[in-house]
Amino acid sequence: MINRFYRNKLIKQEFLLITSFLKKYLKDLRTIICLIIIIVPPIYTIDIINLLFETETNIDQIVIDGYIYWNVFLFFSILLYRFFAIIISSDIISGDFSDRSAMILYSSPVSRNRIVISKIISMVIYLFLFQLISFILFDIYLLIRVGTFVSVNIFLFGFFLNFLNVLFCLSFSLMLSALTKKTIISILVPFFYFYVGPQLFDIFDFEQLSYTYHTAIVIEVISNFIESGVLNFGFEQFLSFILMICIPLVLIFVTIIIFNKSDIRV
Amino acid sequence: MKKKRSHQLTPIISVKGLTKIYDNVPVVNNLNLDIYNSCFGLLGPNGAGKTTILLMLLGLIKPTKGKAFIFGKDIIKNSVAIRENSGYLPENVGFNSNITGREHLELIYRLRTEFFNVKKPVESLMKWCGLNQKFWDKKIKTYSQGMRQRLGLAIAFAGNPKIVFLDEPLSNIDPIGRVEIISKIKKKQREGITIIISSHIILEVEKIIDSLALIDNGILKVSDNILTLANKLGFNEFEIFYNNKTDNSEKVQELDKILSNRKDLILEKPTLLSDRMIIKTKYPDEIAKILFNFNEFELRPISGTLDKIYRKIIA
Repeated sequence: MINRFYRNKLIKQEFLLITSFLKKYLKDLRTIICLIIIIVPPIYTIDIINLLFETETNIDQIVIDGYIYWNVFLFFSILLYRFFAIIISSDIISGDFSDRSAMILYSSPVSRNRIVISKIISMVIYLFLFQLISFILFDIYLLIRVGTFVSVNIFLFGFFLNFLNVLFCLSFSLMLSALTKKTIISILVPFFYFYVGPQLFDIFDFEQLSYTYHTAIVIEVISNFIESGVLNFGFEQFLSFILMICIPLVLIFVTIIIFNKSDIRV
Repeated sequence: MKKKRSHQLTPIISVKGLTKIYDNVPVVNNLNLDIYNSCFGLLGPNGAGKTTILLMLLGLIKPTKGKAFIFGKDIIKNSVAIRENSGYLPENVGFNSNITGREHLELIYRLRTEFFNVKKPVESLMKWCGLNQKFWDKKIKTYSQGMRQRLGLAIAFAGNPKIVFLDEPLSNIDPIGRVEIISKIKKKQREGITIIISSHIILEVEKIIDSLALIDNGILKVSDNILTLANKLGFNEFEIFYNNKTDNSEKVQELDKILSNRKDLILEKPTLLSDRMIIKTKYPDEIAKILFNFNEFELRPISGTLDKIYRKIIA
């Protein structure tokens, strides 16, 4: 009975925190900027489709899945969503310290772990909703213009791949935000990692350290599958796929442990 | 003062050898302290370690060494359970400025209690703290520093906590507001809430606290009841405050008569003023015992004594 009561209380608190954080993110000015960012990939793809209609007479499912969706829309989505996720999640923890609200938040009767987990969940919901809107807008436009959707399995896998990238950006930014408590660091370091890092890793033969490298490997596998129907999923591809899933989770886990041990003081 | 004595058996906060070291410098050094149900002042100069002590008690900072217990619960192992019954007003309180004062207070109230409908208690708290009603539903970024301080005070008392930690509660408040806040805090203490105030504004805090600890460079210099401490240090002028809201002239006369006849306790005949009586005694504890029968009367060292004590010990 007591356990049930306690569990209900925890669920209620978690719900309260998630809704309150979600409200905070939605009211943030950056949401408007991000709304603009998320419509860029669909708009860019519209141009490509129009160009295709001018040059090609036969736009079949393979062109839609492999070229329009996978090579154009998804490529731009991944590129822009990284930017979007870094900007939005950079002050997920450090923001509480810069506006000094951390002292009241962390002195409430909720454990630090649960506050951080609620922040992560609300951020994941927020980013998921934006991505969903963008992807659905794209598919609806495709239906109107071409008369068909992207194949469901390809659409979902692309969505998942994009979301893994978003999760990685979120976890990376979250870790820097929690450990340094400085927003500027949690923006600049991920930007450097994504937009300069791959070239540096390539020069010094450390590609394995780049998340972009692993994403590119998985994208290539699916790209070949759409074009040839052959799924070439070897050990290297499998490892890249697993790393893409595991790295964000490991980063979140490490952040929670370290942040729980740190002192809360502004 | 009277309440304290009746609850003095078990300390609400018990601190044993609490130490916090930053970069090999002890900010709090082997602190041993017992705090009973009272309005307790944690006093000391800037950088003495007062805030660090409060943050350790709230479980926000992990002690390097030592232990502390609040309501018998370990501050490290049971910090969430302790915070369920604790309120906290940080120094220079800050908020997420994009949400309204009401939203902020409602969230904390709901986290501390099991109630979902908190509209009424939240509104009465906002009234209590003196936050202008026009601003209740406005974003915090439109609040002045004083209004933020009042909202922080309301948050500290949200959800009926048993203990409230106030870190420099009077900073950013104008002089008239300070008197108002002091009387409100006093009232909360009379309702049974233990209040721990950290401050370096001695003259203001003197009006609220009944026990204190003086800290300097992280070291506890002294900790005692304010009457006992004043007496120990040779200050023998005290004030007995009356409750002005009711007509108690008969009681004042009766007390005057009793005290005038106790030449063994008082050094001079009491001086009667409109709101208080001034006495000279070497036995404040005995006077306090006499005041048990005068519920609304309160014995304190004469105004300015705490400042003298502070200077004597810290300087």
